[in-house]
Amino acid sequence: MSSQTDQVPGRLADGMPPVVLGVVLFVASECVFFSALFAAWFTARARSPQWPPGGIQIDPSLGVFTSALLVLSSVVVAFAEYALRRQDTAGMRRLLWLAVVLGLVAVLGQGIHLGGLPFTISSNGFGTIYWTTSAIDSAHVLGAVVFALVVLARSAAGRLMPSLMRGAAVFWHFVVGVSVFTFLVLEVLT
Amino acid sequence: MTKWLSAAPGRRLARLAGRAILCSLVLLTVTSCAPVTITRNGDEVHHLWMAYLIAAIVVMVLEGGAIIVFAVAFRARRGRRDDGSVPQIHGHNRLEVTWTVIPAILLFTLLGFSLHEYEQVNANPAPAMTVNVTGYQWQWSFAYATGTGKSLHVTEQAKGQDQGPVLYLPVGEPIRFELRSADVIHSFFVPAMFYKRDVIPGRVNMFTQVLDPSSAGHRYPGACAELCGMFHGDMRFTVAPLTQSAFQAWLNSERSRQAKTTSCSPDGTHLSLTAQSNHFSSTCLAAPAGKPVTIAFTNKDSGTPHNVAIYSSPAATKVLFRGQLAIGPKTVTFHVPALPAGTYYFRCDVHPTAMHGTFVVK
Amino acid sequence: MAVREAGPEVAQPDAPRRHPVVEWLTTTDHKKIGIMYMITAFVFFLIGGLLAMLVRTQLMFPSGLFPLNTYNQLFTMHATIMIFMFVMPITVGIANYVVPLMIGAPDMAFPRVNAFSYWLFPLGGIIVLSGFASPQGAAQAGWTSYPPLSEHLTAGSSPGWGEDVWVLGLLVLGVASLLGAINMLVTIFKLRAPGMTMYRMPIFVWTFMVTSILLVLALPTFSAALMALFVDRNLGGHFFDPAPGGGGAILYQNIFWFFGHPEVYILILPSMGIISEVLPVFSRKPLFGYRAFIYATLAIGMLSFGVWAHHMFVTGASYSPFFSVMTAAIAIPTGVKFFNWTATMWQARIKMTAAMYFALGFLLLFLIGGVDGVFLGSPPVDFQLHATYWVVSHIHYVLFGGAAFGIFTGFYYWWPKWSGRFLNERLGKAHFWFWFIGANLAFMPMHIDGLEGMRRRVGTYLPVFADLNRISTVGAYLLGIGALIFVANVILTARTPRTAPDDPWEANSLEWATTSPPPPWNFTSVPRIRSERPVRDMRLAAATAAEAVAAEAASPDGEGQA
Repeated sequence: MSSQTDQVPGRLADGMPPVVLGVVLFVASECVFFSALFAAWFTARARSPQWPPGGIQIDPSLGVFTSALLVLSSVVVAFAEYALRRQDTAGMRRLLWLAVVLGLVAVLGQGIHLGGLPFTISSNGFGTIYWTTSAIDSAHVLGAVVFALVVLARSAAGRLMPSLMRGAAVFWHFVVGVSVFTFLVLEVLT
Repeated sequence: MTKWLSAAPGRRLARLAGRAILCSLVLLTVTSCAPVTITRNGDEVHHLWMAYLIAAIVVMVLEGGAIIVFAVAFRARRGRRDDGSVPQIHGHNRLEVTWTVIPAILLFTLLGFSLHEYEQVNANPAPAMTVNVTGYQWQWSFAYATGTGKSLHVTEQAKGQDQGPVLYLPVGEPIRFELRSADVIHSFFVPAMFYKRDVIPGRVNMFTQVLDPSSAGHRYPGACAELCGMFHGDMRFTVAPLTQSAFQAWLNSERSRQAKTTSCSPDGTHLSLTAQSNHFSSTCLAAPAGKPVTIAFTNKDSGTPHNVAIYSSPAATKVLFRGQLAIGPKTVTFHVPALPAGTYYFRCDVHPTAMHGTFVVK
Repeated sequence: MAVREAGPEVAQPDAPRRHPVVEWLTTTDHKKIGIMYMITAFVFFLIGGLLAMLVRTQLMFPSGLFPLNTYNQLFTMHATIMIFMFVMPITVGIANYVVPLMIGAPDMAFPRVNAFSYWLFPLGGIIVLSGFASPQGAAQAGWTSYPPLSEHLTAGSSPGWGEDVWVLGLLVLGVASLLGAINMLVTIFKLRAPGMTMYRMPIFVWTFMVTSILLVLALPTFSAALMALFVDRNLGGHFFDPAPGGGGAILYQNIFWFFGHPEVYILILPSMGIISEVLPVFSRKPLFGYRAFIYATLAIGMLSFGVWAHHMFVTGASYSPFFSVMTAAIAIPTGVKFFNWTATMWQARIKMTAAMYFALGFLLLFLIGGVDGVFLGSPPVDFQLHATYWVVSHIHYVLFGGAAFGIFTGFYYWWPKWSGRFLNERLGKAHFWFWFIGANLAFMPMHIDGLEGMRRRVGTYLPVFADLNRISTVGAYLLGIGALIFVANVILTARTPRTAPDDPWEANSLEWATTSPPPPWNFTSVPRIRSERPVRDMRLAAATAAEAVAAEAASPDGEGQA
């Protein structure tokens, strides 16, 4: 019964389904969390005589690649949601699996990029905030992947609420947005 | 709708409020003589505080009085039945606007005085002298930069264990304080100045104050006001204002006293030193040149950490040896490496202004 | 995602009965979860109160009693427990129980997320308290935990893991609060009964809604600050390194207080809501200016994000005029609320129950806390009062006289609804007098010694302050006795029969339209909601109907009056 409907009987039937509203609120709090990290980044930058310190050079090519992959995955997730709206469950699953693979490859790329950096988390303020923000960013991509896997598992069990798919999609788009923004701040605008 | 305002309890309330304001004015005269301030800024901030207090008492009497009077006057009495005659008043727009606007005017008027006074306190007139204040766990270090010659460090400790170093200051001229921290955040607080300012690592805070001539010859407590660890509460100092001539005399005598170097001669490679009541048993230690020595260090101050650290000079910039902190009562042995001949400086890192001496290597 | 549709279809009457312990440990019923929140938070309240007694015992003597690092742990943990493990979760517990009832919902929007948030709470609390097992003791850098002190307690010495578990435990509690707040918001937005429009919601629902919004938008910065502290302490990070290139010591204060000031309203708004429920009920009148009260609550919520640096006037590292203007502005809506509460009592017929005693205590004590806080909003005056006992007095008038009195008002008011039993009114009033007198004895003298320069967070002080401190200590002990009276009241009345009717106070909001305690899924039928006082409407309609029947019976031959 609950697999087919989002609405609690007798409750307000208009507007966002509860799950989507919950995810939107969670995303709002995440935005504040990342704002605090970026505030730290810009404060440290303002207090530093040279930025990045010690003439650190970062190769942005891997970052461009992972960002592109993530933007692509966001498009794929949007199509997956659209497929579900057309009752095309099989298509939704195929597309969502594709997005999961793209997300995992992007995390792998971010891991390789972090592994090859010429500085560590304890080198200086730049290194600390760079590593922390990047690691949290990657953790969020993994979180979005897990969310998508939950949707796939529920779908396989035949208990998927469409609103859960929408919630997963909202979170996915947010994570991709943050990831691209992080890349721009940490690597392009330094 | 205004009819219920003129009901009997309203008149009673007005009479009561009048009496309460009268009482509070009496109270005010009593409290206004409480704290002593020793700066002009302090006096003015104190007056500002009084303005806030008057407003606070008026608000407390009117609003607090209304709460109490209403609660008493309108309580249900035994024998009177609840016959549903309680007026169901949902609101009153004009009244609500009034009691939004009047407190707003009051608050922003007070704020105007505050911001004016804030400018006064923050004004930075050209100083006659500068005091460099350094806070560290858990002591203050003061150095005078008077323009001529090198700066002078305060070495005098106030009487009694907990009063900390004595900061002599001339009255009647602007004194700039530059605040630096060697470790965590501290706060330079002299209640009699009605002022405090945080002492923050990685940042130089400064402020200027003029001491009132009437304060000369008295002593005022000062202390750290930002939690800085175990002995935060004991991180005190004493402000001692002097007339300008007395201050110059003190400065000159202190300069010549510090110019005299203490000396002593080595007697073997085993030294001993005791710390008690935040003082070292000796202000001069001597060691033979080129030989490592041991210091048997006894800390008799229960619960208080002390150590012995040797520096190339009293400025304590270059460390030659640093013994670990020993929390008393405890005896430890420090192994000091061989040093070339020269005159060095030793101190307790926790209490550097109270516990220091000359380390002579011959 | 633990999402389950909230609806009566989940309740299966023929499900096998489970052992009560299993039932409570696995429950997703918002009422049981609410009660577990309250019991857990109350246990932490007793622990935090015990620490407060120890703090005050230390301060009986100018030279102290306990070792100083122990003393620093005592006040750090007292504040941490009272803020994060008592006031915040106990208001969440009260809201968990009554908000779904007040809006006519069968449960929270996400019952399993609700249970998950609850179980994180004791977990986080135990992690924080486990610091006492560390060889160097629990966290001792104050509840604000400013670096560099919180990163290196003594230059060069090992700070121990007490501070690390403090950080980790608060991160866990933060996740719990965040999930709880989101759940509450979705519940309020999505599960209101037909007819329950926003402007018919009880004020408590409004204040808790704003509280939840503040949590969602402020708490994450605290989580970020805690995480940065953890990185600095354990991974050699430089987030708050004062050296050039690090973020500096002031960065933490900005991030912390961006959370910390909304947090003050997170602590007090629910109590304001409780008072706004209780005062009208026992005054037999509607809340004066219902809409104005809502707008004031929303204004406080918004302005609370613009006042954070008034905690930093003495750092010299913030633009003080802006923050003092904002601080003056946020005092206005708070004042409006006071006038609304007071006017609610005008020409009322006040029923002096224990709950009403506590509500009046809230008004008087919170008024002092509001007025002495205005002093601190003036930068020059704050230069003297900051970090002295004036501030200690202010926060205790606000958080004890305000938040705690509001919470206990709620306890005396909703106890029959929660348990089906009444608390003893006489013991309740004794509890009130101990607390009201104790609070003033404990906290009023602090204004004087604070003004004269007694610093907060010191374990030793100048002997001139000894007399005032002893008065405070006596007051604190009275508070301890009051708390014990409450415990005795709960224990003694627990054996009495469940006599509470549905609506013992002749109240206004929907929780009184169902049984005491309510059945699973709360309502067999939700009454029609046509105003912000549906239960009163129901009562008046019933009275009118009864009168009509009586009149009809009386009219033919003058009988039937019996």
